[in-house]
Amino acid sequence: MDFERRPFRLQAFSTANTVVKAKFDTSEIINLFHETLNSQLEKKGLAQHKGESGAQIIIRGNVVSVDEGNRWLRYFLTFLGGKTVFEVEGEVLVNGVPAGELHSVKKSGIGVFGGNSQGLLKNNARAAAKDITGQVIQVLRKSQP
Amino acid sequence: MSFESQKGNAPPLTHRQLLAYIEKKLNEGIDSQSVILDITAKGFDPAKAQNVVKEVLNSQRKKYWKIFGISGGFGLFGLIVTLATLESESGYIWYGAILCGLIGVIYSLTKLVKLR
Repeated sequence: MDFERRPFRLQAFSTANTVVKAKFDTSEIINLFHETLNSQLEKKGLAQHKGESGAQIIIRGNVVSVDEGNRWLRYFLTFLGGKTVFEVEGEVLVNGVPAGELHSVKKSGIGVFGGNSQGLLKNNARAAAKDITGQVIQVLRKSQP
Repeated sequence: MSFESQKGNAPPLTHRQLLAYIEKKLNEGIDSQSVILDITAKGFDPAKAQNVVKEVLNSQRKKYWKIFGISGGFGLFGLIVTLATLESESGYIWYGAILCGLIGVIYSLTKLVKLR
């Protein structure tokens, strides 16, 4: 289905109550999530709204948790412990009315020698953005008359 | 995205944020009663807080018992194979399985002891 470049506005996902378990600055990962989400939505046929007046579609949400896990545990217990976790939730508003909820949680437990936490979290953020894009498209398809 | 009641100027915690917060606190070794008091002080209903903390505590216990079972089984398998083949010419010590199993058992037991 073509969305005919319908304008959307992506409100930055709130990090006010995010549960962070990481020794490094996680803003880079959250920015990557936003960038990927924007580009994925544009790929799907929506157009980023840049004007001042209200967009038809608004996507907003929260970053629930960013967990770097434990590399040492990932090395020894690959599938069992030390996973990195990136979780987001949100909602889609169509003409100001909530049209559907969004939720994605991505975990990684495999990497070379346990895997670099930052690298794995970046992969999680990209995967979560793609997942959220799919959910947004589903919500929009359902909300179309 | 249901929002939970909360005092103060901070935006309200959503249910998932609340679960993540409780999970973090319990894994830090803070006992469940202190976590209940902590979230009750933030304005949550005490009865609801108790239920949510209990729910998270049970899910965490289940998770660590699973790690204990799988890694314990893995370690035990390594030990049995080692003992069974030690006398034969092709026999060798399965360090990998024994070590990973042992680490898993120690890790899960440490976490289980901390969850109160």
